[in-house]
This record gives sequence, C-alpha cells and structure tokens, in this order.
Amino acid sequence: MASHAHFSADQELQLEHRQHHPGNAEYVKIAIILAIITLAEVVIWYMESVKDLLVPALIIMSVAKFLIVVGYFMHLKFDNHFFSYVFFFGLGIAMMIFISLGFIFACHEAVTFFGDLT
Amino acid sequence: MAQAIAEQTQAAGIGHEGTGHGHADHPPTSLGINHRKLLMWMFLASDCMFFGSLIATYMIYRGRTETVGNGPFPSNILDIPYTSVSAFVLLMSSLTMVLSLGALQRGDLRGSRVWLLATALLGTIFVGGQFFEFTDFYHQGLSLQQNMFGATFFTLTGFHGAHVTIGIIWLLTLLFVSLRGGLKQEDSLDLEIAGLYWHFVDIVWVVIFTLVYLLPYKQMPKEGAEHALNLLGTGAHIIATIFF
Repeated sequence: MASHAHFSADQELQLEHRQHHPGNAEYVKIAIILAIITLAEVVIWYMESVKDLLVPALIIMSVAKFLIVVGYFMHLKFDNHFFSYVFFFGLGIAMMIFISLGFIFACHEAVTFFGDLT
Repeated sequence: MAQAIAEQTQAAGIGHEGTGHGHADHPPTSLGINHRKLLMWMFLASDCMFFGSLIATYMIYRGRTETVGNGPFPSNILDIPYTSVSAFVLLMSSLTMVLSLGALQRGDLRGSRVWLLATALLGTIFVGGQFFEFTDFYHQGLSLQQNMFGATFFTLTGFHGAHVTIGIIWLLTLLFVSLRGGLKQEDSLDLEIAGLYWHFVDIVWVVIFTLVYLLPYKQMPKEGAEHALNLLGTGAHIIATIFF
C-alpha cells in the first residue's frame, strides 16, 4: 500500500482529466459534427458561387476536422500536455518540410527560367 | 484518496512504466506518464514527418501534373462522390474506435468487442474501396510510370492504405486476444494505443482528402517562372489561411 502514496499531483491531474473524457453521447455528437463538416466540404466543392473562397474554406474545414479528431478522439485535449508537445513538434517539422520543399522547388523553377534568359 | 487514485489509475494505465497492466508495485515513470503511450505519440510524430514529405512531394508536382506526361490527369479521373463516402466511412470508424475503448474502460467486454469488430469492418470497407479505385484508375490508363500524377498519387495514397491495413490487422489481433480473454478492463491501454494509431490514419486521410481530391486542379503554365510564382502563391495562400 505504501507504493500508492507516491502518486504525484500531476498524475492526480491526469486522472482528473481522464474522468472528464467525453461519454458515448458526446462522442456521437462529435462524429455528427465531423460528418457535417465533411458534407459541407463536398457541397461547397460543387458550388460555383463560392469558387473564390473554395481553397481557404476547404483548408479551414480540414484543419477543424483534424483538431477535433486529435483533441477529442485522441484525447489530447484531456491528456497530459507533454503528449501534445511531442505530437505538435513532429507536426511542426512536417509543416517545415512541406514549406521548405515547396520553396526549394519554386526557386529551382525560377532559377531555371532566368538562367535560360541569360 | 491516494489508494482510490492508484486503483483507478491502474485501470486507466496512467503513470506506470511497463506492461500497461497497471502493476501498483511499479514505480511511477520519471515523466509521470506512461512510456508506451509516449512512445506511440513519438511514433505518430515521426509518421507526421513521413506523410508530410509525401504530401509535400505530391503538392509540388500537383501544379504540373496536367502538363507533364500523358493522361489521365486528376481533373478527369478523380471521383469526388465516391471518395467522399470513403472519407465518411473512415471518419465513422474513429467513432466506433472510441466507443470500443469507452466500453472496455467501463468493463463492458462484449460492447468493446462489437465496436472493435465494427471498426475493423469499416477499415476493411475503406481499404476495399481504395483497391477498387486503384483498379479503376489502372484500367483507365493511370499507373506509377504513366505520369507525375500517377507516381505521386499512388505513392501517397498507397502508403496510407498500407497504414490502414496494418491498423486492421492490429485491431483484429486485439479482437482475437479479447475473445480469448486476454483483453480486460485493466488492459485498456493496449486498446487506447491501437486507437491512437487508428485515429492518426484517419486524420492523415482528412488532409489527403482535402489536398489531393478537393482542392481544384487548374492548368498550370509550362513556363518556369510563372509556374514558380504560381507555386509560391499557392503555398503562401495555404500558409496564410492556416496561420492568419
């Protein structure tokens, strides 16, 4: 029994967070929200009137779905914040890879073009 | 109080190094969090980089898929309604996954098994749909070697499909273990870790669905500088939308 005494305040906090995990009804509500966002994505894809806003709208909805799944279904919102730091660190590097590769290839295209001019 | 926390924490698999069976005699970890769960989050972070690279490659060549090589091209081959259904199926499998975990944490073994089987079935439907899509594309003339679109598309979605397939095998293994009585309430961390992996393949598909299928394809100019400006413009637009 003595071993039970060395639970830290942080572990008590984790348990408290776990006790606040959504229940089945809340999970179903979250899934319905995700389904509605997916439906909205497809609907606006067909709408000519929002063509100018299509790209930002799709990206905002995609980011929203991503954060909802990560926050609620993967419990990052309720779990120890250290898991969030680890995951978003990796995600941040992935974003940097994405931006860097795009920048490198764009520069390469430009250099190739201007090189041809000279 | 401490004993109550210990008992509940054991069941939840928090704060104990080792098997996830919550042995109370084990000392707490140095970080105060379960190492197996941390390891899975680290793996998912590294998988973010893996898919980040594949998606970046796809996006770089996305602009010129209509101009390099012979068709078929994305604008005349991608089937949005069909893929929307696939995306919906995978999204719903995330719901059944959390319901399975919730049931196990409450000690409802039968419910956990039913939802676990449902998750595996939904995953199988998704992979089956992807197999059908690949076959259809191949019959329409698209292959890995056909053009830039074929190479980047099959690589990206193929690796995602492989991840889903591994997830299905993992879920079915857990179901088999559960049916043999090896997955009880106190082992819920085993299912939670599998669930983290499963939700991850779902969020990767959320990104792929938007970037590969939904973002409109337009005819890019062949000239290098114009293409570069278009590429930078699209990148800046996406970054500005995300951060501002």
